[in-house]
Amino acid sequence: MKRLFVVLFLAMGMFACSDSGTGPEENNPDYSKLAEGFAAGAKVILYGEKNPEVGYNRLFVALQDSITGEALDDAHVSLEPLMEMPTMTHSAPVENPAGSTPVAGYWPGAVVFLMSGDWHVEVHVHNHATNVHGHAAFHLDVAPGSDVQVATGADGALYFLTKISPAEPKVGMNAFEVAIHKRENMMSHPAVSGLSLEMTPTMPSMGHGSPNNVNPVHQQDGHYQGEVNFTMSGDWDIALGFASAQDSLGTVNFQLTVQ
Amino acid sequence: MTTRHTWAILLMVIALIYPARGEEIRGRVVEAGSGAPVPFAAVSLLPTGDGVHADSLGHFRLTAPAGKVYLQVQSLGFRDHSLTWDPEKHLHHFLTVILEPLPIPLKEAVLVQAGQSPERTWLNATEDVLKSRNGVRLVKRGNFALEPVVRGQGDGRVNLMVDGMRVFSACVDKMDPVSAYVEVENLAEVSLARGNSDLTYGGGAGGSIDLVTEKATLDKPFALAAESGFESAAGLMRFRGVSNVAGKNRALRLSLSLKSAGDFAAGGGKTIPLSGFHKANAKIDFLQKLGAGNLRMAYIRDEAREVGYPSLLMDATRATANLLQIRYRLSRPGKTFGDLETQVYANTVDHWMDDYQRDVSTREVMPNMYMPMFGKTRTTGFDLRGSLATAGGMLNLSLQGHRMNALADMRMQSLDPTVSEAFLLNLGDIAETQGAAVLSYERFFSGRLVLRSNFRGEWRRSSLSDERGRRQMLGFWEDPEFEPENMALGGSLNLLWRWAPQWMGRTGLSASERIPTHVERFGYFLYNPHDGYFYTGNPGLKKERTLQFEVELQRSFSRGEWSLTAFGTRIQNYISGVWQSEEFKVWRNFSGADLVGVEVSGRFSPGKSLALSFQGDYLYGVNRAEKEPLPLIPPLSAAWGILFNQGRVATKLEQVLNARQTRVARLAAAEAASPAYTLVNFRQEARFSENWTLKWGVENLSDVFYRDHLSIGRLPGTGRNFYLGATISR
Repeated sequence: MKRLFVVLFLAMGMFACSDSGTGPEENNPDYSKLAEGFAAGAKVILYGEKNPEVGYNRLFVALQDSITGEALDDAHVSLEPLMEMPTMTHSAPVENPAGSTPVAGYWPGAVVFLMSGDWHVEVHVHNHATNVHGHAAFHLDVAPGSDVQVATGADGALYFLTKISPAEPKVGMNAFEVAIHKRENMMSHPAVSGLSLEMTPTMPSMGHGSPNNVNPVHQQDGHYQGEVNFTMSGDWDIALGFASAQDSLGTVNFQLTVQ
Repeated sequence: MTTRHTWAILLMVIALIYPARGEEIRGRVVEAGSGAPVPFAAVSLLPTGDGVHADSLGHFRLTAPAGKVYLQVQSLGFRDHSLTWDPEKHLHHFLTVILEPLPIPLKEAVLVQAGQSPERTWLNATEDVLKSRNGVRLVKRGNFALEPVVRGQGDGRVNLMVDGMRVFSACVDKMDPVSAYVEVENLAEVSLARGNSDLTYGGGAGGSIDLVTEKATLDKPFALAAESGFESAAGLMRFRGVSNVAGKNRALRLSLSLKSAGDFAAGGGKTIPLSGFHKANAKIDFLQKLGAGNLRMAYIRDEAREVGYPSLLMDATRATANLLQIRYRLSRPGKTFGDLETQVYANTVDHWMDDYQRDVSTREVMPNMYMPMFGKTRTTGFDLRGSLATAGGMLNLSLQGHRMNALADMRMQSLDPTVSEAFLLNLGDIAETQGAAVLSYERFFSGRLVLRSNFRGEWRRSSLSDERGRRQMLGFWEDPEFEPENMALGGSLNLLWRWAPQWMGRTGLSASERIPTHVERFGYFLYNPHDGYFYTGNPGLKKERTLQFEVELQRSFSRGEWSLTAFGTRIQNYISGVWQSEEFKVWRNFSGADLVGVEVSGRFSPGKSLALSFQGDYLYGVNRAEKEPLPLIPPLSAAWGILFNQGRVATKLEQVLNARQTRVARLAAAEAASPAYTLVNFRQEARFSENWTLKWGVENLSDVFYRDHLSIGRLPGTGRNFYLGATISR
């Protein structure tokens, strides 16, 4: 009987090892590793859907026990991007992972890089297993991009409107999503909700627009979703007007090429 | 007196003094079976159309030119009859012509015969035959390939066929109506069915036009004809040649046509730039007699290049068509199914157009952008027909089917090299499969009363297959049906009553359905220069339903005849464009539209050498939902002509009158009123011998500057046009 318990225990241990040995890359091979370091007794691995570029970047943090290599599943993770310039230092809009448990092995978050260049990104970790706080610092080379448009609103605030989708616009109806943040100070860019948006896609070279577009409306965390209709391939301009309940705040334009 | 008037008078004088010469043909026209005389039958010479009417007892006398001649005998209520009269065999013989009782003349058969019009008009293209018919008008986009409309209806509401074949245009801008592919030297007959009285080819409210082509014949062991012509208004030069070689059981016919024209001049001498064209057309026909049947094969190759369309944004750089048909006909008189005919066919149409010759920097629509376009259609089909003679009647059955594929695209190339090239699919790989059964029954009551019923059932499956094409449509419609299937039914009843030898009346009632065309369903960004909007198809369109009532009255008398037709048509689910957003329209069903009209025509021969003809029509159309007139409704119009036959010379003076059209479709088509105009034409034709004919004349004699109501972009009509042509044959 004792031998039987030993065998069952070993078998359970094998299955447990098998589960914990499944790395995040195996869960989603589409993510590419951007950097790795150590913080709070854990190996911190930073993944992205793509190489970082100006615009909305989904980032994924995986944590492994720094000694056993086992995946951690109880921690708080937050991101802190920083751009250090000769005359100033500023942060960027951030969406930190919610909760303390990973989703499919990752703590998902996002950063809106506002400009290209060398960004300093700190990943703060509170390892609940050891109750240790720490952070890992990474340098990310952010490529140029055109998905972030900046406008000074009629209220004097600086707004950042970031096109999230469509990433690869196609002829026909496309889901359109934009994130809107506002600069409180150089280190704080909260999401802005409650705005009303008016979207007007046009082909400047043709002088026409398209019908049946759906103006984006707020979902959560400053994300607004709508639909845009590209009636043909070519160069398009999307004029996005944004307004609060009181004022028309401004208009930004996104240029994109539809395939 | 101006120089042009001097010329006109001189030509008339020449015509009047030219001497007459020929043989006299005497005969009688009788009814098959009973042998009763057929009064007032029209007996005419082919191809000239010169002729006389039989008297009340069916007797006639006709002076024919020397040599063998071809005669055609026509009478209301009887099948047309053609025969050869050879003086070596028949001179001094009394000719008896036996006419078979009719099918009800629901169609008008316009006999053309090797490019020669019976009405002495100058035939440059097939549309020249069509435009002279009551109820038929032409939509003009350039000086080439005018689009026929019948009773104000075109496109999907008119079934335009070639020898019963379905041929689909490839150009989404309607530059290539099917009629462009049949040259007049190959046109034997235009079978014109106005409205829905005859549903053989479908249920469109306009009707059907079948262009019946000339075929190889065993009657001509060796025949050769050639014609060369010139027109001054466009500097048009043309050449036509036709030959027929026949043995005992087989025959071969070849034809070739070449045309080249520069920019045409409107009235007042104003040259319309970018309106020239070049065109070549060839046709090969082969006939093999096989016992009681015969096998025919025909192939048409048509190619046009550098065709200018001044009222459109683009010009056609090249348009090609290949039409192939194989037909087997079995005639077994007296058998149950005495007449059986099978036809299989295939055709391809390709069309390239662009605006590389235009100054795109100054235009309002899509400035600073070239827009080359390509379109193609591929069609295969069959038609099986059989006739069954029953006691007192005739049953005709036709089974038809076709498969069509269509594709059209457009690229948009900016003059600014930093702007990406844009692309769209006007027709994204569209397929259409259709099957139809048509049953016609004619019942003869006492030889004076005939009932004809006509039923058609049609099934069609359409599909839009291309992924990009589907995405395009998803930008306009929520959850559209990309593979719709439809059934369309139709039926008509016509009663013909000849209550006196000179009087005949016809009344007809029909109800039919029309399935939306593939363009109305799946077309994408089709620019309509008529109203300046881009049209997009609507996959959810319902069928149009048409209800039509028609009455016709005909009167024959010893020296002529006249007819009067009145009709009313109600279209439910009327398909038309509706504003969708700035610059865009989509097709949708409107609750209904009404059409009423009157058509009148007649001819009168006060003497042997003089014939008068007249015709006129009026059409009133209204979109009941929009409470405005329907688009493309021609104004009140009339035409009359005087024909003098002086021996070998025929002279014709004709006048065409069009009233002002103020009932215009402003919402649906941004139409503007069009002014009235009158044209005078003068024509002469001289047959110097049996083999030699010379034609000359002048159209729009007074060089009127005019715009027809159906001209797109207010394109003016042709100015004064002198023409000269010579035909030689053996």
